[in-house]
Amino acid sequence: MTDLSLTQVGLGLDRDEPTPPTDAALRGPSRGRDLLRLLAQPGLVLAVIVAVLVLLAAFFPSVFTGRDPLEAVPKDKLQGPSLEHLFGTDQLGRDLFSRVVHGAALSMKATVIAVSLGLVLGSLIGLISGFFGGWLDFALMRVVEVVLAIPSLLLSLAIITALGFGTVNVAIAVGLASVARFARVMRSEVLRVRGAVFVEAAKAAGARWYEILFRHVLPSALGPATVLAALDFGIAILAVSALSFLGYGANAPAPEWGSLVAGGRTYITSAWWLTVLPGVVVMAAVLATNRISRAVDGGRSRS
Amino acid sequence: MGRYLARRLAAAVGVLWAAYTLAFAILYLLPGDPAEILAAGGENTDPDPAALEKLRAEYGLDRPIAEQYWDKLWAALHGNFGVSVTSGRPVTDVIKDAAPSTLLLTFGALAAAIIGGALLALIATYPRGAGLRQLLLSLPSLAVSAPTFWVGLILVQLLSFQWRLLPAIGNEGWKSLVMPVVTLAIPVSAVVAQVLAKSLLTELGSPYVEIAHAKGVSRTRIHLRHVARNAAIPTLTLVGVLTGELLAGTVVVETVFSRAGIGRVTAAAVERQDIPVVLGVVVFSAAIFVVVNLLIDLVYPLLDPRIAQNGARA
Amino acid sequence: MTDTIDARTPQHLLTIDGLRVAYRGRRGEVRAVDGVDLAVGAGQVVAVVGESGSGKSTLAHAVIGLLPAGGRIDAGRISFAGRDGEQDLARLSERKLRALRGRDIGLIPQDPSVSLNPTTRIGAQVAEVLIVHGLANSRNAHVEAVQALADAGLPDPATRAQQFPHELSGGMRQRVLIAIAFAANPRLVIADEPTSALDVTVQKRILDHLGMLVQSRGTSILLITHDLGVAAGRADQLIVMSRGRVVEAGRTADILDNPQHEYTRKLLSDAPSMASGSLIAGRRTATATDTATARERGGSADDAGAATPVPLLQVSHVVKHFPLPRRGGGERVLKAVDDVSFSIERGRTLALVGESGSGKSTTARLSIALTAPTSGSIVFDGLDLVKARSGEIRRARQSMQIVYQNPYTSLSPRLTVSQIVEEPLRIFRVGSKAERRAAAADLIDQVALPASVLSRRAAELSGGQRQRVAIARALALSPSLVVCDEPVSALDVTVQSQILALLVDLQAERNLSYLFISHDLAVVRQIADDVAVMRNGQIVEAGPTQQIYAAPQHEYTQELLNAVPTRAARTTRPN
Repeated sequence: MTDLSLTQVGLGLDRDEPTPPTDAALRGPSRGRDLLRLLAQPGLVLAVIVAVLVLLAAFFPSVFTGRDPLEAVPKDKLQGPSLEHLFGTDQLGRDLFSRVVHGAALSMKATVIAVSLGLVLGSLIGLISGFFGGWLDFALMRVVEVVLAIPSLLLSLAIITALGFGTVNVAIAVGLASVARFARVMRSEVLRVRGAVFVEAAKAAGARWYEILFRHVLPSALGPATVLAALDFGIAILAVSALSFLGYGANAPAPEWGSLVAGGRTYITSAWWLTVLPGVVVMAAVLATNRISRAVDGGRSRS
Repeated sequence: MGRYLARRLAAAVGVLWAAYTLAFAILYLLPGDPAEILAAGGENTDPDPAALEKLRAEYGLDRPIAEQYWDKLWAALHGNFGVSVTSGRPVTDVIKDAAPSTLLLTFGALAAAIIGGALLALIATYPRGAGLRQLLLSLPSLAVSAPTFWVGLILVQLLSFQWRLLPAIGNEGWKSLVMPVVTLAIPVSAVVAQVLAKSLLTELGSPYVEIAHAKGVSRTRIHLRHVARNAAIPTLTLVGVLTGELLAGTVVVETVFSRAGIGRVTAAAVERQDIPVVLGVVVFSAAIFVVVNLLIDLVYPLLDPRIAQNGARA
Repeated sequence: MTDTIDARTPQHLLTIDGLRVAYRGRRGEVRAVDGVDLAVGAGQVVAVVGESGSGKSTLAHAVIGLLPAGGRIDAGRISFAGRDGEQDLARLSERKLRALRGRDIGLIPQDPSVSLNPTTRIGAQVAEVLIVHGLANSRNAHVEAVQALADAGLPDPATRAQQFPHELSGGMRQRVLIAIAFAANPRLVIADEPTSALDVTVQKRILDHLGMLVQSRGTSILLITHDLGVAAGRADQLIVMSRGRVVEAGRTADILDNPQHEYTRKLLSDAPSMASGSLIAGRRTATATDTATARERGGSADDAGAATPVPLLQVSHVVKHFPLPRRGGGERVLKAVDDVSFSIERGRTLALVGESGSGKSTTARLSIALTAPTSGSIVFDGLDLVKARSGEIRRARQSMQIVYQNPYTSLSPRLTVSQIVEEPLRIFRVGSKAERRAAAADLIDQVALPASVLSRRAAELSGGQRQRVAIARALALSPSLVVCDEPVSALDVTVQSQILALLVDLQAERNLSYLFISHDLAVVRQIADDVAVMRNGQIVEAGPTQQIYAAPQHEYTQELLNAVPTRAARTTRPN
């Protein structure tokens, strides 16, 4: 989506750490030191904290708030943020913080379904295409190219038109729209590994095709697919929230992050918090997953 | 050059056909009865069986799916994409009416994104100190993480209601175009900046840059004369995809700013499950993608002499 | 000539005193150049010789002020007598350095294939150096550029000036870079491994031309090279570097004749040269039938079979075509291997020699069925590999193995050394897990690596160590044939000689046959019983090693042999 499926093209962009040639020789496999180095990056620590909070909210919302997200208290409507109501209240007097916390459940559920669908289906297609090659590869890649020619938001919208509304359908729509991306990354990874000299060396040593696939190609190719999955998490959060904003997600009054922003639109002049605060949460979640995916990517390319 | 163009043109037609087929497959083959969807029109009511039968006959849904596909494809080849279920108007008319405003928005945002992203990338890669560079290059990751609809609403809140500089909604005049263009362009400009900055840094590290330094060429000249042009080549490849994403982004942006256009038409069509209109919009977007890519293919050989000779992108 | 210059001009063009350069990385500081002194007189060629990591390249870049990111001059002077008088380059501002670069100091880089801007015409790239220094204006710059290209020995310079880099061969591109370096008539040209990326015959022509330019213009050259042969033939002064320090410096002839430092001696003895003795001397001499050229043997297998033992590998009339992208009408193919025949007997080494693109590597891969030939027959130990079923080929792989050129890519980065060496055993289910582990340990011992490497990953080892691991893997199944595809060309010379000695020892112990692929005639001379010279997919000459080297029959073989840089060949700078 315009929101973020675009970041995939800039996968792992901010890695700009020139390493002196001697570094490679000194490199040790110490995992403990890697962990320490990760902790030395405050941005990453913050990202991990945000991600943990979001996941906690998705599974155990009661940790954060005892309030019912659907309970309306008309006399408290449209109140600004305060200690009583951290994020203020909406036009019906519902507590916005509680709605955002409970909204994490639906939004995260959709995101996880979408990413898993894309990862599993896309990786499988890419693996088959890249490893076996030939006409099958040709056919699959032509399909992938066409899918990539259609903007993913539009693709999701077409799928929703066919499947109907709801959180799960939105998730499927977002997931299917990302299959082509995963397939392409996986295929190019498989091709890269398959063409590597050490794979030919295994073949020269007499390895059968499945031994090559499972011992050499798959383990090496899964890394980049995992990194893409981590990055795709952020993309999926944005896509799911955009579709929810447009009103294709869960039925009212169940809270979702996107629909919360949409709901606040009417009161934009009088109650800024209704639009601003849920958006901040979405952005924090996306930034956190992107930062973590970059760390995963960096860690992978280092070791 | 002639062969190069002919091949590109053939590929373009192929993409259009494939996009049509894909959209058809999604809309007619995925679980969900098109007749029920058409009858429901977005309402949650149970249509009576007799009405469904009538609808099936009317839209030809009772015939084998392959037959429907060929008939619709044949009609589409003659410019007939069927009739909108909700308004009853021909899909081509619906799109034709809505297109100009959306295309203006899309290409305005494309220009803004390319200029903004390129400037940021060029400036960010110039300083030798890593600190400033890192700071500037962290802007795109921030921009790309913000939901478009939310950015639009924040702009409305500040520029329209707080400072009363620009109209919040509508299609009237250039002023109404500013905020939608900016909203739409922000994430795309971030991508342009990231990709261009990456290839700028790659190019800056390549040996021919060292030779340019060894000739005594100044850093500014190296940056603009030698590196920028070569770095632009991978970025150019992206423009087709970016245009498509911008076009799709109008669904959100036109909703936020209540602008009439393809985006609004699409949003409404999805809401009412207006299958013919959704199909038409997908093909329209594929057509824009194809045209933009054809233009890029024409520009390519001018930038990269290696393509002019081989007639193929590396 | 050298003598007179040394005596007459105490005034040096370039004097480096106590130069220290360090790189700062995330893991602290690495000192690349550690207190180097050297001097280059006017019109002199001074060669800095060393292995990778010796700091020679850093030294060159420090002089021209183009250290890579993180590099910094910590101490020392680099005084240079340019057109603006004597200046210390180590302390010069970027602005003043820029004025010197290209005008007073030229640079010829290592890899011509990537050192030109791919989207700018050749002429404009040469003209730029003149324009930025105000030595030409936009009107006459092009004419001057064409002249510079002509001076650099580029044929048809006016046409070439209109072309783009990808339309030129590697040798031509290097001439363009020489034209750029010499265009402004600088006093000093730094040549950083100027020919190491080129084929040996091209290398000779380029170096000869460079020598001519130096003589006619009186330019000084600081020549950076890992190749003692190149340095020996062309330099007045030799500076030997190791680990950031100068270990020996002096007149080239003196150092070569009477090296003082232990490292120099080692470098000299390890460097494969045409003068080095054979590592397989004393082996049984070829029988009368053996001396027939390999091509004839391949052609008449029946006759040979009667007189000599059946060869282990018999390659007959093998052809390999690769399809090329269609352009215009009709199918086009690349004839990578074009009717090649040879055979190898047990316990002997056949070397396939040729330049890049000669088809030698494809031939190697064909020989052990890693790719199928378009036509011809390949018989290994009685099995016709072309007709055999995949199961039979797989079983045959136990006795035919390969060692690749680049040990950095041929070992999986994910596995430990032990896992890598065990892999062939595991594939063929040889022994139990514990037995395989023991076998791997034994093999690692045989290739003279400490047992401690077993649990490490290949990425933690040096290039030479990795190549030993690759050899251990190749030997795991006790093969009878090992294909060595340029096994030492990615390694430093001292490591090279160790690996070659190891290969020879293993051959004697295990009665191995080697198909040895190499571009390096000096290496081949040390290790091969027979040599086949390949060019454009064909074997142009084949025979016993001594015979080929002593009396090459084919014109191309002669050219190859002449092009090998040797200490004796000081042809370009007669004293």
